[in-house]
Amino acid sequence: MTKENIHVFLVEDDPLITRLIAGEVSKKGWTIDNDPTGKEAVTKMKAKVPDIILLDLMLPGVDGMTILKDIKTQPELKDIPVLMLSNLAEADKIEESRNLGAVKFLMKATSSMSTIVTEIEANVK
Amino acid sequence: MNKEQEIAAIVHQLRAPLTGVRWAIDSLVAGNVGPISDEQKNLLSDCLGNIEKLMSTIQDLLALKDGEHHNFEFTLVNMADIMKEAVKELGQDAVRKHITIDTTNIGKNTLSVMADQSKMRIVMENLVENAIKYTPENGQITLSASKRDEGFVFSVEDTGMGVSSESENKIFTKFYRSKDAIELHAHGSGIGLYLCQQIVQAHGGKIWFEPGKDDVGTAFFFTLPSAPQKE
Repeated sequence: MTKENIHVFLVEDDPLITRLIAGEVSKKGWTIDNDPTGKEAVTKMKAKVPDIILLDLMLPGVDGMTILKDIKTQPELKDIPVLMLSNLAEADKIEESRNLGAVKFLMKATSSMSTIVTEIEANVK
Repeated sequence: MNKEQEIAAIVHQLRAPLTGVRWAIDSLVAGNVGPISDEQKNLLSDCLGNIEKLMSTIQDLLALKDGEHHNFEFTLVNMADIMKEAVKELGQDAVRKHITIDTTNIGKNTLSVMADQSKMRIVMENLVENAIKYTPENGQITLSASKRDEGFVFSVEDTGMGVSSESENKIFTKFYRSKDAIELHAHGSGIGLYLCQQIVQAHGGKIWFEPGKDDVGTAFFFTLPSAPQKE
């Protein structure tokens, strides 16, 4: 796989943010799947394994940290880099996500769309 | 969920919808969804500016919650790094106003204190941000640090509008904003300096201000005890 052909999985409940990230990803020629509640995220990821996962913390169906733990127990997903993407950037949350294996914690309020694209490129193996 | 977790959740709920709006406007201004006129671009840029202010107020409220509850995590912190990081973080705002920031007086030594790193960042960023805000174009800001008694004295001096005698006793009061400050920057929460005082005092230090060199501008000072030396 080259970095011209990245498949992103986004777990995000805000339709506006989803639309913006999807637009940016498509512009790069990459592909994206999304699960807005988090409930079916891991099942969907296993059906089509992504190159990178963008994971929100506060979701309507399930806590993002629970999804992260689940991802890390799945043999086909455990090595996929996970970027946390949340405004709930309290120090304990950042540390917990790192301990659980997330590669980076991006605070939405201080990030831009270009930061997200740059981080995707930098972290895809 | 305890009260602090509740506040954090509310802050998240306030920030979340703003983030999408900010990204969408960013995208429009960048012309990512088609060309826009200069007038449209200016209006959208003004909207973006207001969103940034709202985000900043929300951030202040979160910090206020921590500051007032003395919710600190003390570790060994090098204040020289904190000062330089604040300048790096806000340097672009100074560049836009052709303001020079001199950090040579910080020196190259490690300035070790026992402190909450993120709260010290808030103090330094508030002082540097204020200095940039209230200093006219082509001005100068000087950051200094020196050893005194059992600790350190840190200062941020500007060549800005100074503090009026009317505001002298109120400047660290929560939500206080001087007439001059409102005139120059209509929006502001009036939380920043109050928060700095809360944080510095909770670290066993004190904060004050004096007129700048030759009575131009203002110099803010704060002290912190140095970290205990290892036996």
